[in-house]
Amino acid sequence: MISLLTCCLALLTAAPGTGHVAYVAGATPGTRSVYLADLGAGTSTEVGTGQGDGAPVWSPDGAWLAFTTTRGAGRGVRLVRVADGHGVDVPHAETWNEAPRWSPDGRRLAYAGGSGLGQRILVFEPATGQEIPWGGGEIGLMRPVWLAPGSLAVILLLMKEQGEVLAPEITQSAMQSGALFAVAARQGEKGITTDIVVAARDGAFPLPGWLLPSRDGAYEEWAPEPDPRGQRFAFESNDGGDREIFIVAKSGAIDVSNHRAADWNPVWSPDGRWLAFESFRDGQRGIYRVYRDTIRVHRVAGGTDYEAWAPSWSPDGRWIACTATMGGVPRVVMVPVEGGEPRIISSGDGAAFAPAWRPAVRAGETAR
Amino acid sequence: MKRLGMAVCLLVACAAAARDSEGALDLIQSPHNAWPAVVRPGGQFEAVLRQPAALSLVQPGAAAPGITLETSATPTGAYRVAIPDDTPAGVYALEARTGDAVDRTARAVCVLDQQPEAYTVAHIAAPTLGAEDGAALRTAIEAANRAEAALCIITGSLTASGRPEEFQEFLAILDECRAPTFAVPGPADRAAAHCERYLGDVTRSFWYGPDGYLGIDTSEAVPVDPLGAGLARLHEHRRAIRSARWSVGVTARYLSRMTMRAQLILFADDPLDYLATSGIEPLAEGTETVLPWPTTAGLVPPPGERAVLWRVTSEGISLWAEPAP
Repeated sequence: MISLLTCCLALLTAAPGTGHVAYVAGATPGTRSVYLADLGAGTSTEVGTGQGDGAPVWSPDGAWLAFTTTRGAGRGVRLVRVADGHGVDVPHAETWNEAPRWSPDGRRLAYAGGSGLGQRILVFEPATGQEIPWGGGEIGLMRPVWLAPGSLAVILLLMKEQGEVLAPEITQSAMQSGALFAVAARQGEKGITTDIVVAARDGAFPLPGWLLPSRDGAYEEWAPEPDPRGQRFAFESNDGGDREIFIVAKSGAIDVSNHRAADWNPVWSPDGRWLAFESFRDGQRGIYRVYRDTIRVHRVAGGTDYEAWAPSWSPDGRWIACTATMGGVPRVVMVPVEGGEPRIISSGDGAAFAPAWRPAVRAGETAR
Repeated sequence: MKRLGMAVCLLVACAAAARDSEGALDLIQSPHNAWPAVVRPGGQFEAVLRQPAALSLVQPGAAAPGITLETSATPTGAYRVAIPDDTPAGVYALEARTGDAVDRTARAVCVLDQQPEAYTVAHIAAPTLGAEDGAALRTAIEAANRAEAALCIITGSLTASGRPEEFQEFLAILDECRAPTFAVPGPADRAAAHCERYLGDVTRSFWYGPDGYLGIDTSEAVPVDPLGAGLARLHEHRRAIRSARWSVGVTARYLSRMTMRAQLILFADDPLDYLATSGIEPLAEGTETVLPWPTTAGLVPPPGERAVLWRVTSEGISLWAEPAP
């Protein structure tokens, strides 16, 4: 009985040859659809709409996929339960919606609604079917990503240590309902600036300047990504003359990708020890990983003989799925994190993009 | 200040020179008459071919064979093409031969023997063939020829609805220009899914003297494809002209809805000096139509004008008064 319970609770990790990877494929941008590759069976099943689907993201329990797709004259978010293909079109107030991200408990989905600098953060709650503006409805907020519960506590603690006081209602809202990072893109006297903010349901506050490598706000930040353990977060900035990846922890901000070529799109490993990112340092775009404590960078895929981008870690952290131009055509592949020959995951001869490795799930959770 | 006029004249319809029977790109995908290679004698350019072929340069009106070119394959599947040291300056057709197939693309290679410090660029905005007849475009090109423009850039919408016959007419008139012509489509050009057949990949860069030019695709539906390789191409071509005296983006329209990654590449990380465009989408109703990124200046024809001359000097780029005939 104990062994049976152990089996039921054991993580179904994605070892080489097993697991699922969602991706987008299609002959033209307007006909792209989300597919689900079963690595064990070597098959791919269409689960998308075939109407210009965007990059899929998994719910934390691995039961649902969320992605944007063409809806009318704009784009809407669609949820698909992979077990039976049941689909839900999120009702939207805005015509254009993009960049969905699940909350850590899987009960909410945040995305940016609106167009250009008119975007705002919206949160959909599947249980109630409601779409709610976050960040107090502030305009100019985009690319939301949920904070792990610990991240918010770390940020608030650091701010308290520095004597910074937030409006109590925002702090209370964040502690009660959770919080997310977003990028505030606004036009000021000096033109457009992009800064990282923390958004709660009832308001948003900018990340304190002393948390960032440059305190005068002269640089453009993008792509904040909290680590899964809530102790650190990564982001991009053009501080230093070109785009770099920084990690912020209690000890301050560190440039972990330091190179004169551009470094983009940080993605944490499931254990929060490594960051994968894209870099042009070897001539063309490739995928690299850096260990957070030693800041030593290793090449994983592409960069020299082919181009690779859009990394997604396997749940056991041993593989990275990515898009790679194999023979001139973008395909979804998996590569050992130590580097090596890419193995093609996507089916057919057409272009495939945006892999998302299904997270490790506990048995029984997928039935939700 | 005298700008290029847009007078009405009779349309003389003719098929686009070379390419396939419908005027679409054939064996030679790049370069072509809507985005030629600009190269010095002894220099190299990149060609994209549907299949391996022998390449040569052919002067207008001359019979083949012309100047035989040496090629080598690149890892991306394109071909690096070497121009002989003794190649005379001029605008050449590029000819590709493989087996019995021959494709000759007019005005595809511009060989420059000088590095001009100051020169004139003709800019034609939104000729919109199909909604308008070709007279205005033809008049603008005549003015560009008269002004001895070094380059001619045409920013979309090139056509009203992107139909093959509209592209055919556009390309045919383009071939009346003596200067190399660089065309960037807009949203309307992509409406019927024929654009790539006629113009190929838009994200490209070239050097003219000390200056670098970058073609940017901003279509209404997918402003710089966030899933594909488009962003990397944009970054690589921006970096390729990083050391230019003036870096000039060429696009149909600045849209604030462009992906933020694309905007960071173009206007924040390595900010372009100029953006030549048919128009700038206002961020909000009533706002000025200036680029919202402070280090990049817009090159937009003044209200009511659809064709202008820009003067490029070491001082910068500004509207230029065409000398009196």
